[in-house]
Amino acid sequence: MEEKFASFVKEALTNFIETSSKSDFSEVLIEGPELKIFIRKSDNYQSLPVFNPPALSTHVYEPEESQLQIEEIKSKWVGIFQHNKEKLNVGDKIETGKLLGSVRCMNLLFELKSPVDGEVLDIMVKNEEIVEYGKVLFKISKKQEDFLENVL
Amino acid sequence: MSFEKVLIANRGEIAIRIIRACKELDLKTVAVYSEADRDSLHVKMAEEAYCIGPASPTESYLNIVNIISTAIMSGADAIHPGYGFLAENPRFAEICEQYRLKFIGPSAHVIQIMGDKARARETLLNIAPIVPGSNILEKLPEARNIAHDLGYPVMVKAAAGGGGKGMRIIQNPQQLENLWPIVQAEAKGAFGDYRLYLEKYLSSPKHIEFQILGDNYGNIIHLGERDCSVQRRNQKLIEESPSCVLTHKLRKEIGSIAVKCARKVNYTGAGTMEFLFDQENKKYYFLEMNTRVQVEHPVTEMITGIDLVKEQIRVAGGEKLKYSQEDVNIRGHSIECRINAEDPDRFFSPSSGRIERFSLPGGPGIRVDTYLQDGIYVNPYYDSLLAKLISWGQDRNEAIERMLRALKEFEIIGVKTVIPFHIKSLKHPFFIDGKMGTDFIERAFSD
Repeated sequence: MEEKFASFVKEALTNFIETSSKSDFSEVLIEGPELKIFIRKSDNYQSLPVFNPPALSTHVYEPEESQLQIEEIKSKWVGIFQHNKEKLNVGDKIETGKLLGSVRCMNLLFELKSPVDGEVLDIMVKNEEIVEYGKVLFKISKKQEDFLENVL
Repeated sequence: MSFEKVLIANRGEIAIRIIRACKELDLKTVAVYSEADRDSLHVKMAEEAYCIGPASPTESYLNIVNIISTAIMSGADAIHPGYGFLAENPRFAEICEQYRLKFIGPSAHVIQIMGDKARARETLLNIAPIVPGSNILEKLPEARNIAHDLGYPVMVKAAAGGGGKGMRIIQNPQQLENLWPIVQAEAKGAFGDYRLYLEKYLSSPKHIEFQILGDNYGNIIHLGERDCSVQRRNQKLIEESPSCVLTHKLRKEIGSIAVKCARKVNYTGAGTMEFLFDQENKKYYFLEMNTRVQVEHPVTEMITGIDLVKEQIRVAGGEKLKYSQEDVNIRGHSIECRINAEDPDRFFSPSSGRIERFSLPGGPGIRVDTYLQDGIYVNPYYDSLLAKLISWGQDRNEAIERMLRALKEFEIIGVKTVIPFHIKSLKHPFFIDGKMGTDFIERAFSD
């Protein structure tokens, strides 16, 4: 049944491409034993397949933010946060070990480094802001390979 | 006063007690808390509060870097350590001094001397009688000889010990061989110091301690004694003042020695000199000094009318003691029962869980110091002390009657508490006659 179906779709589309290139019609009706395909050509609709069989799908999976693997970078110290001289921006790609910023604590600077490869999703701290233990400073979306590696 | 804003480096009831004292003195307060204590009462009561670490005390209430940084960042200019945690850590007191934060307690140097139990004994050797014993011992062969000379039973104790930890009773030479390495390992684990010393073990002594207050101008007074003989595993459960076994003459004599000891080290702030009192021959021996405010300080407050925590803060702020020795008058009798989340039927094992409901006692002569709130989780990470129930009466009988009445009013649902044990203890003939020693629990409830 599936083979028959795929063969019908292939044949119908081939017919359509061949016919449409030679004529200026705006509507096509292709009818088979178990299926009907209706195509309208207009200014708004260059080609409008009314049925897209799953076997030919080209949809790319894009996860919602909530489904992303997000690493929250929290402060381990109580102190004053300092961004790098070249401040990170949302969307920056970062690697494991990349310096994200520092926390000044008892006049010492404690460096904050990324534990993962990924992309800066959110910056939740301002320069010279007082931070306490556990405050989320950055959100990093982990690289997908990391996620798959973790899962596997 | 030399400071305006106090960071309280503690949790639970003592943090609340200190916040209250600060408010009465018009000082601003900063609380610190672990992630487990986010909803605690002390966090709500302070004007500012900062999270300093996870539930584990080593990463939060003992996290010197985050505590000092919180103080600097919040603009606090003094730190009150309460009791436990960093209260008797000379390194912490020293770091406070380096960062120009007033440590509310004695100097790092005094904590160092008095906190090292063996060194304190050596320092006060010519002033206070001490339990016959040894200096610090490095090795077992030395201990063997000294234990033989003292005569068994002996106590083996950690030089850096306290709070009932790092000590064992040794009945015979074989036990000494077996337990010496174990106590050494315990001392190393608990205090980071493996050194031990030996003391003659007294079979049924009373634990009597004297409250001291000293200022920066050489004024030192004592505020009478507390009898803390009701203990389990060397940790106090019931304390009272005055003690039934001290005559006025003995009180004056031991109090004067306690003041001399404090003077010897130029003691400032609130402190406690602990003694063992041998009831048979009326002899007393210096045991150790605690360089902080004690859990049981309220009984002294009840009978003297002096707010110890406020006085401690005032003298740390450079003020003179408000009271002379002649101003200290003892009135009535006070008892404190520690309401611990422990199961007295299961060897006082800690009982953690959520407080579903509680109801505090009240009425004449009753005080409750607590951090209890509906729904809080009693965390096994911390001390099991939920509340301190304190009674006051015109005499000991009335203090006991009021305490018994209050214990029955006190309702805590969700965890096991030692309330039933306190009721049994206060009714026991050994307690009623007031002569109970530190072996009270073994003797009274051995069945």
